[in-house]
Amino acid sequence: MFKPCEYTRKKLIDWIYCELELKLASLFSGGKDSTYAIYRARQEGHDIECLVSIFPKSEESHLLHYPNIAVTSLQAKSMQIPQIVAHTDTSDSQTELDELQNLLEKAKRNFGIDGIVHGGLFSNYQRIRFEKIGSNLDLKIISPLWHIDQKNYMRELLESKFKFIVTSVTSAGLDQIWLGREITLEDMEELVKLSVKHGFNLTFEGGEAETFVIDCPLFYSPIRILKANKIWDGYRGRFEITEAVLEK
Amino acid sequence: MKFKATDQILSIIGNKKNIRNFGVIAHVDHGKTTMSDSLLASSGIISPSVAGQALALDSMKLEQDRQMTIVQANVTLLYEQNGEEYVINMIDTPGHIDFTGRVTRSLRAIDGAVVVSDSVEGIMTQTETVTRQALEERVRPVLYINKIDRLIKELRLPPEKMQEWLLEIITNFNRLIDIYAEPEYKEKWKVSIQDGSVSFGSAKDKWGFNADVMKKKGISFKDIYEAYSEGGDVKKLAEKAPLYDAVLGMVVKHHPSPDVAQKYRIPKIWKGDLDSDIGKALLNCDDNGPTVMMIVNMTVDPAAGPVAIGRLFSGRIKDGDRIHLIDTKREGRVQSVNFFMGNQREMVGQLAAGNIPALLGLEHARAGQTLSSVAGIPAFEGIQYVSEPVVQIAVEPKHPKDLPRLVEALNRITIEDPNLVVKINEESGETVIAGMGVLHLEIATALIADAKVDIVTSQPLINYRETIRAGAGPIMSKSPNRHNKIFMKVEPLDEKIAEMIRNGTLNEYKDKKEVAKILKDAGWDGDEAKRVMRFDIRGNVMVDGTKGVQFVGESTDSILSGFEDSVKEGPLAREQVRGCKFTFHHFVPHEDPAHRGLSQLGPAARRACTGVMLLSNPVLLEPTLGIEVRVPQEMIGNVAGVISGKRGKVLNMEQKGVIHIISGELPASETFDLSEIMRGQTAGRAMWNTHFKAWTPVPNSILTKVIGDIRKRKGLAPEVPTPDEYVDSE
Repeated sequence: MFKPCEYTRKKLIDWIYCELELKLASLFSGGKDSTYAIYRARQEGHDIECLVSIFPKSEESHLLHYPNIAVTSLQAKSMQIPQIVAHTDTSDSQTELDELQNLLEKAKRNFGIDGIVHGGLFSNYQRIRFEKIGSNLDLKIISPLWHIDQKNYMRELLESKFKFIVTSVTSAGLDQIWLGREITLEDMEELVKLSVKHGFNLTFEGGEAETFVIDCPLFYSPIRILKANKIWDGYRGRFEITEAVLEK
Repeated sequence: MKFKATDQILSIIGNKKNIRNFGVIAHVDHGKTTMSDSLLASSGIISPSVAGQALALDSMKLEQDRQMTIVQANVTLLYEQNGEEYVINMIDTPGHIDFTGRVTRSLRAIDGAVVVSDSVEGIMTQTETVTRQALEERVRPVLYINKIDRLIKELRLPPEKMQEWLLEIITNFNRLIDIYAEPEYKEKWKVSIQDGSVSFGSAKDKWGFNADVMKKKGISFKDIYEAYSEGGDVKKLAEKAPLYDAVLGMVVKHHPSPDVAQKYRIPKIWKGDLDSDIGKALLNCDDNGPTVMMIVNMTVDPAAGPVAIGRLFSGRIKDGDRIHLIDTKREGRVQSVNFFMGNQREMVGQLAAGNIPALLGLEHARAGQTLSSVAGIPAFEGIQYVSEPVVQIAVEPKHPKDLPRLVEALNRITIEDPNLVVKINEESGETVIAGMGVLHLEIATALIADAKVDIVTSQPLINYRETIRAGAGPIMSKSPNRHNKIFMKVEPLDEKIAEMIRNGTLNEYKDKKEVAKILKDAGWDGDEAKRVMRFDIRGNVMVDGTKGVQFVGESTDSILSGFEDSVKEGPLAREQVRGCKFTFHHFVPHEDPAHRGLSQLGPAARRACTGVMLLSNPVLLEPTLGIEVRVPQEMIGNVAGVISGKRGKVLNMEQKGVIHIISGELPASETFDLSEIMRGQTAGRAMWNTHFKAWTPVPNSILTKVIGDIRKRKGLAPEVPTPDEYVDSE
């Protein structure tokens, strides 16, 4: 009888999963990649049961965003998906991973998820760590953006009516003019040039900048930012949203 | 007459023993051009009667206006001695230090030099500088003491005093050889009256003699006194003892032929393998070897385009040859092979090793480059420049429609003078010309005006430098995403090493062991000496001081790019940094390559370097010029007043006959109106010149203002940033 080895077995399951509708938890930061990953996963027929967010108190997280924490709950509300949140107090990536695993265990218990969806594009560093948690908890990893063409992806985002702003800049070539700016097609052209000149990832996967989605087809209501602070020290900058509401 | 001479020349050069390549070295106004013209007259290219005034070598109107030689011209002369005919290539070299790049390049092409010295003034600073460079290139110098008539007419020296006077000049000259020649040439190359390696004469009056001429023609110093006394006939003296006989006689006797010279010069000036086929061909000046030529000068002929003039060290070159430009890895086709004669080129079709061809058709060639029939051979060592551009002006055409012609003119003058640097400011679109002094730039703008382009120039701007006076660190800076930490130390770099980096002796392509040895000899730790990451051409170095850290190798380029940025624009006023030794002390990178790319490590390294420099007692350096002023006695006080009024110092005062020579130094930033003031204060009776001397710290009393002004001009905040803007804590 045909007895597939471990590797082919996994492949087979992967193939079968494409056809299946899975219950997924989204590793959600509020930025363009994790939000778009949800959008793509839904298009593929999966259900997003919950959002899992870890918010490092330290600015130096190796794995995850340092976002505008409070405002992500508005995004969750607008998508009408429950969110589980944890805060970590360390820049140690192992503690972060442990915390993430705890959260996902909780999600598995409460929402009965079969897998997780994340917005990683090229970072093997992230992928390998997520896969490890996945195998620990027996969860499938869905990576809808994996190895997507960066330029096309950025265009696709805008064409799919994703509206997002830049909430931090931490790279050569990016200065305070980008803070709080909603990215348009023209901006995209500019970013392509800058990324080539200064050698950063166009999609900001190396932490060159962070984004925050203010509207997309998943939202029933766009988010309106009422108050925010721009912080720029000549080297890096943050756009801190202090007050925001759902328009509807 | 001329064509006959050309034919004769071609028939003679079959025998290398009958070729000489020499140049003339002289202080401004010591009579080099007059002498060269007199020699030219004897070769039959221009008639003897006009040689004195024609200044045929000074092909540019500009030079005639200034009575100063700017661009070298190459002349081929024919000289007969003891029934043997010699072809002598004479390369005219400027004595002015502002253009020393030209001098050094022309030195590479010649095997011997005639050093011209004014009999009254003796060996001057510039003569010393150029003679020293000649000795470093293994060029044999001989001495010609000019303007002997001044000793009689102005100083009224009696014969025995005159001999004493001349002996002192000779002793001074030999002292130069003692100091600067390599050990094996110290004795061999000293000059003496007895062996005829010193000549005396008056180029203006076209006579000259040396010991050999004295013996042959029975001339003595008495004849000279007679010629210049009442009723004497100088013309007769010139007929009996023509200058060219003395000078060219000296050249033929004491300068080596190319085949002899290349045996000992090639090991000094060419860094390839001497045992290879090419090495052997070069050493032997072999006509049948591969073609190897070094371009020493590029001129642009309005009709024929760029002309590449240089020394053919081996092989032959002929019309239609395809040739490799070694330095730029390109290829070119030689349209025609020429000889230079005065300001005339003669097409000769073909030339062989040991000669100075002028090649047409090589538009991509540049002065200093090596040409060869074989691709990929080691190039001649880059010429070592002594000066770096210190003053710059912005130029723009008066009428925007002239822009293309301005660009063309700039292109042309930089082909001809690589020491002029033309750059376009990317942000403002300004065209900036940088040169070695105010005079250098005045000449450049005059050349543009000659090309009939009306231009508007800015006030000259001084280039400053930045350096440190202490060590500091290690300090730490984080990348923008805060995920990478770079630890950096800095300390002042030994001046000798900095100089070796600037002149290219130390560079990345050099053998690692050799580099380590040089650094160890200079007192570096053995481990450190092996771990240089980058020699920065401005005179800085980055050493890898990390121990057992991951990802250093793949991050090197990013880190060096940040280092490069930080030394290109220093912390005080964004001027170039020099004399700093950085140590990349420790590295804490992010594990994910996406998080430690160029856009993260570049800025982090730049911040670390800038921050640590700010903690190291940084200082602004300004270019200081040496100045030599020649004035009558009664003006000494006025000149000293001008110099000290310009933040300068008088260093030495010397009397040479009725003329007093005041030497001193002053900051370049004070020289913009020096001409006017000097003229005003001395009623136009001062002759003076300046040369770049050193980078010196801007005095504290004006430091803040100078830095503030530069920062303002560059659109920066007036205050120098504080270190904590660049240094992070854990």
